Amino acid sequence: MTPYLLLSAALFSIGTFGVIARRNILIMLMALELMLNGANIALVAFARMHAAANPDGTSTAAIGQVFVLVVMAVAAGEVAVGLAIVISLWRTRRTVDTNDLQMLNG
Amino acid sequence: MSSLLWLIPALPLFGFLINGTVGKRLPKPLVGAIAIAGPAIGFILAIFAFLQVHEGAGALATYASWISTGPLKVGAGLQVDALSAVMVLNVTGVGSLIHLYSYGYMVDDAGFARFMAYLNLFMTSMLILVMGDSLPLLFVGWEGVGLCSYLLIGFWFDDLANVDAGRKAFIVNRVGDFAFLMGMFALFALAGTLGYSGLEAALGHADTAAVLTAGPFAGFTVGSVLTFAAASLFIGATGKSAQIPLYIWLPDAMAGPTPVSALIHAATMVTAGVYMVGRLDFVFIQAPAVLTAMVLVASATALLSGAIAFSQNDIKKVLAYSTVSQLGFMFAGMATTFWASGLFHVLTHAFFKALLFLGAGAVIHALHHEQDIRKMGGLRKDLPLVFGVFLIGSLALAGVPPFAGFWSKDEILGNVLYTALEGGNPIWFLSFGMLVLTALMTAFYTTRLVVLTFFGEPADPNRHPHTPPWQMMVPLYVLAVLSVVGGFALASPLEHFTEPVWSHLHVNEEMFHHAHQVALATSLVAVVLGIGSAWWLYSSGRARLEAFVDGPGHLIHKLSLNKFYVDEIYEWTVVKPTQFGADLLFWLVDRLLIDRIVVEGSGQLALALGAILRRGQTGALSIGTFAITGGTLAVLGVLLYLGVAHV
Repeated sequence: MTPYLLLSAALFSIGTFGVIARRNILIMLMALELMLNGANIALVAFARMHAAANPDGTSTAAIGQVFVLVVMAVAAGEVAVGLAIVISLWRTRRTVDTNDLQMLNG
Repeated sequence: MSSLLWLIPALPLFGFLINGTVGKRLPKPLVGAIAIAGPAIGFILAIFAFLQVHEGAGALATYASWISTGPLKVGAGLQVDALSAVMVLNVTGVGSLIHLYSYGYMVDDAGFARFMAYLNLFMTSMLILVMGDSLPLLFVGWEGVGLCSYLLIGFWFDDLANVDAGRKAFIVNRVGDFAFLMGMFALFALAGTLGYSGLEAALGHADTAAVLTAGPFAGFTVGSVLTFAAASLFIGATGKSAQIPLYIWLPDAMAGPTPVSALIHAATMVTAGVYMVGRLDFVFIQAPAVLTAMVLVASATALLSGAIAFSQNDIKKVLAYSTVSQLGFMFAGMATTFWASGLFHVLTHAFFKALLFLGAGAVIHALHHEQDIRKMGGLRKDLPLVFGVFLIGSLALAGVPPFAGFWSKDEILGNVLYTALEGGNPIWFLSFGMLVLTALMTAFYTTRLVVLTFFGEPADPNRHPHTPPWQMMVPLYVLAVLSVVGGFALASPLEHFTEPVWSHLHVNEEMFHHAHQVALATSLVAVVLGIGSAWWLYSSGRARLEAFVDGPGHLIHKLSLNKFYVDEIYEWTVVKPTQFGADLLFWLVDRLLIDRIVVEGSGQLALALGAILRRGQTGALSIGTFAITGGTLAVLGVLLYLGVAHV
């Protein structure tokens, strides 16, 4: 069990670091994907661990996997929207560097 | 008839709605016809209602439930009994005549339609006041007539003095209205109802010594609460009916057009307080202390305003102070609990004072809005018909037999003297003395008014008075007839007619007869003295008058001319302190606390906080994400530390 969770935590941490530290929005989006996949691995690992038939014959085994599928679908949508924003940013500002995108300061 | 009762107040309301909205675009005769139709048809309906009451069947109609909340239930209902029937006849009858007169008087005014609309609204309010079957409805009418009075006093609103007079009337009345409401609340606390029939059933024969155990007056006796209620209601009446200490608005109310003075400020509205006392006779009769106070206030008012009328030079001001004085007579009549005598004077006064005001209006109209009697003189040759009717009105006001005023005034004087003799209370004797003196003064200033206006030589030989139109003369003739016959024709029928409304008192016949004989004799002597002295002083040029004013009459003339400085006293004791307090509150509370500290202060606080907080808003994405991550970790750490979550 531990190795799976270690892998999951590592992926999540690398992703978090990427989001915080990188300045290129494309890289940040990719780091976001790493974070999501880190979470996904934890989900399937726990699902596998707790997979057991209920006494009345039903099963809760697939719930973790279903969650992962939902996360993947949302991630796909998120990437679509994110890339669209990146493209329109590039078109209007000719940059994808967050240091150059600080118009929302107070 | 009961099913048609609502038409009496509703018809003038229709007139108000039509003339008030589209009246300006209608031809003037049509506006006049619409305005006059309301009270005139109402008068015919009132005659039928009167006849029904005369046959012994009062009319009562409840149309809807108006207020229904908790124990308070007020219906929207009208009732006509003997008292209401007389008042409705008076209001619609005199009202119709004055509407007709107003057509002649105001038709050339730019605001003619507005004027007629206000008059109609006044009629509606006044009729609700006298026909409503509960105190709240009376109060609706009470406030409605106050509003119309305000609107009509300030009718020519482009002159600031008129607007001020209207405001004064409104504000002074507000003081009285507060007391009136207090009295109404006290009655509700006692009886749990505000309808007249319910009130009379609950309080008519109350055990005044009983101590209340519950409610806001727990611990007080029923009698003391009734006294409180009666006193409050009477203070309310001093506002609407212009008695000391709240009479000061009425003379100023003469700023309105003259028909308004006749209708509202002489014949109808100002008698509302007298009507209210008569309507709640069962309350007042159980508060003898209030009745004694009432007769004292009433006779003092009569005396004071009679003395002021001595030296006023505005023809309408003389009549205004005279009205205040005569209202004092009415309240004195009410205070004796011979209610019919007060109502009788309401009626006769409505006839002759409306006649005098309308006659004065005819003079003012003829002289192109000249109101100063020193600039009149000699009008009896120019306006003989107006002189004739004005003379009749004056004789009625002065109390010369057999004119109307003599009968009702004499009745009141006799009743006051009888009550004084029966109770042996010196206050009543004092009041009788003041009223007799007032009768003398009334005869004096009335004679002075007639002599200065109609006798002597014209002040301006080049003037060209124009004769009033027939619309103005017809009401004068009708009122003149009423002022002649209204006294002896109505004296005993009225008393008989109102018997069912008012409890009959046990009267010591011999003493009653005796008192009335003495009163008759003294009042006749007073009238002769008053007329004689005024004639002596004013009829032969200014020499005698000047000798009197500079000599023995110096003090009284000065006091009278300056209205006994009552307005000045109020200015310094009431108006100025109120203004000072208002200024204080304005600068300290409004300007400083609310404007500067609360409103501007909270804005500046937000600005200052924003200036600090905006520094955290850098717009750098990495700082934001770092803050989110760090925040999440911190929350997690705290939760782990507290043991809420665990690994």
